[in-house]
Amino acid sequence: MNILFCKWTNSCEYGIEQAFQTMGHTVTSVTHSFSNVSHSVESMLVLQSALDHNRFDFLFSTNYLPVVSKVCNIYHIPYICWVTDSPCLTLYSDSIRNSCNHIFIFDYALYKSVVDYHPAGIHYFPLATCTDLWDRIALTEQDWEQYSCDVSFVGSLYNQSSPYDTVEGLSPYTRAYLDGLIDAQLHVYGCHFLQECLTPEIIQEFKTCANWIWYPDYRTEDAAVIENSYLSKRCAALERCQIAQRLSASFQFHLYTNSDVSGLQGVQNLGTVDYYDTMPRIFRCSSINLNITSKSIHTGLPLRIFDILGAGGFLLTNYQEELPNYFEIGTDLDIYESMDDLEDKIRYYLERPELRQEIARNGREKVRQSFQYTTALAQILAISLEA
Amino acid sequence: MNVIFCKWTSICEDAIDTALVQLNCNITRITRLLDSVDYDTDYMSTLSQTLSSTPADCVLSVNFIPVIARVCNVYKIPYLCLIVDSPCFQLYSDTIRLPYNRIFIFDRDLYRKFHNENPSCIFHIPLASDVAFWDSVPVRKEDHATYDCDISFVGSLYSEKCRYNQIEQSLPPQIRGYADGLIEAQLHMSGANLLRESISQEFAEKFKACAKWVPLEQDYREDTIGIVADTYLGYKCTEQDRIRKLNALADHFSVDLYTLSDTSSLPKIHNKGPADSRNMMPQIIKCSKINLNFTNIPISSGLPQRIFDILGCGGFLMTNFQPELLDWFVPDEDLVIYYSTSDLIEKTAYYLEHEEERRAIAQNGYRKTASQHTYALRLVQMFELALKS
Repeated sequence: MNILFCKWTNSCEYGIEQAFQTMGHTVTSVTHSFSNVSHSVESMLVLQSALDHNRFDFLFSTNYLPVVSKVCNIYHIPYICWVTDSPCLTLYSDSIRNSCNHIFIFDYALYKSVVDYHPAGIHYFPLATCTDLWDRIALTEQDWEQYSCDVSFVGSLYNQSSPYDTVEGLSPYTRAYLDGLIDAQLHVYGCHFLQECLTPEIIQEFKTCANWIWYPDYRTEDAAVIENSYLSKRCAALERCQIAQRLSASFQFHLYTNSDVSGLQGVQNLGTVDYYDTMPRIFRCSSINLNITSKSIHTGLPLRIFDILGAGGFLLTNYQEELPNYFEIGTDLDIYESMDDLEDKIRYYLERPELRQEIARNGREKVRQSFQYTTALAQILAISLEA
Repeated sequence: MNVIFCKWTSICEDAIDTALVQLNCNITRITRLLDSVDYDTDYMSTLSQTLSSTPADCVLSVNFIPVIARVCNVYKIPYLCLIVDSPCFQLYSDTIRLPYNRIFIFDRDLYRKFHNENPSCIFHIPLASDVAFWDSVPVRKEDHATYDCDISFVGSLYSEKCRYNQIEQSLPPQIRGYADGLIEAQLHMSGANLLRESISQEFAEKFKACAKWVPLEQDYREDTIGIVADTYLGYKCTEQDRIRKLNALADHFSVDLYTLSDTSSLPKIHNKGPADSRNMMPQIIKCSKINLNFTNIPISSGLPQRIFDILGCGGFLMTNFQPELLDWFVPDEDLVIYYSTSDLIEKTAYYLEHEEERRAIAQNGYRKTASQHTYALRLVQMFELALKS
């Protein structure tokens, strides 16, 4: 088939494009700031230009892009998209109801929150990874020298330009109340209560102070926006920084991030890494790889889990509700349920290299069998285009 | 078995007394009240005299009384005590470490907290039920007329016990806001105590400076975080939990509330006034279709006395989730657990309609309690654990 892949520089785009090509499809890419509503007119022109010159069977993107949906609606072409992150604010756009849409959402809680707006066009679908690209990585002596460590974490610490920190004018009571909620959420895995704990007064006050940009054709979901765009991100930042500091103190901890670590005691930053070449080497050479799911992802499994496993790394992750649906805890990966538990498990597994390797092998096999992009995309296309 | 039973009018004492009699113990009862749990020298004299003149295998009390621990240590006689509530501030006394203590704690989290202070002398054991007494309470026609109802709750709303209410308005907004945030979060959680884990030492110290509570005696460890999390925020949580859930139920059903507390925030509830725990409560339980339990928040894992009261009376129990429930009972077979307000309402509606299932569950709960959870059985377990070494 002929696919128009609407890109906006999400790191998984390359892997998905490769998968489509492996499947025998022809992929034309167009890159633009599609999710930026103020660039809508230009985005539309870019898409129109592509559509006027070629015939496509469907348009594809990661995450949901309202401007793509609107164009597809006009041209009567299917729009298939795979939401890979939460929050995905564009899902509040009324355009999700467009009949051309086939929206696949990786997080069950996020899926449930929107499916009723378009039951036939919105689906739940966990993520996958580019196992064949990871399989091509051949490790060198240098890789082992450079990337070996006790524990590694690749990713943002969310501690810079935290939206929560930029909100000014909140009353001391409200600021403290929200801090209390955030600190409480830090200690809980598998249960999310930030939204429910917001009173109408606090929502109103926060909305006024935060003054976030919203659009006329977006549903109003103030409490959800406050939770997922502000509070959860702040929670994730605190969590990741705390972990970075604690682990740096007790273990050989490699942190690869674009975040500023100067405020974190004892934490060294080894910088950002290339997603498709360096990252898998890190996963393979680290004794233990951490996944710390952002608190804004309520139940779902982030891409990082599949990347680590697919690359053959040993994975230690926070507990997420959907984990037991797809993986055997203790066999394919292991989980931590608190900071203390995290340290205990790191110590435990550092002493057992053979067990680690066995678990990593199981995890890799499981991902190879059930979570390859090619298989997943084939199912996604079947669901979308059969109806 | 010769037992010196030190009574101070606590809950559970009547039940334990009955059980001691059932077990054919020789009981010497000391009913003198304590002026101070730590240094009441008159009490120490009374107890010492008793121990000098009466043969005793052990001394027994509800809750841990440091004065008793001191005397028993001198006389080298085992001091058995059953902790029936959480928090229990006397556990912070240095005297907890004395070697003749045999401390039985009903809540596993509380047990874990103190166990290392005296590993061979501190045990975990659940509470129990005075089934024989409950069985002896008749339900006459007049009782049905007075007490029959769909749903009942017997208990305090904690508003009057809650020190947070007294100081709330005077707290600086940063402190009050943070506390309210934590309380709200805890109200949305089931099965875990967030308050203790989330409060930092720093916040606890700031709170303490505002609350200005009476400090404990010198030979006590002060657990600032624990005091803030349990007696201030925890009790506030209990109050809010009970008020909100009772109001939610009263929106849909007829609910009878037996309490001494002020019920002005519960307009739709039927306030039937206070209920004596020995003379009215059993009839209330036996005449209610559904009996509610809302565990006090600081009791983070254990089963409060109320659960055993309801089951031992043959009542149908609808309770919040407590981790230790699963150690002894089967949900939906011996009792029913709710996990949220909407769950509570749904299950209440269901069981009001399904009378036979309700009766079967109540019967199972009663039978299990009568065969495994009487105070006589519990005391036998305690004596075995306490006196074998």
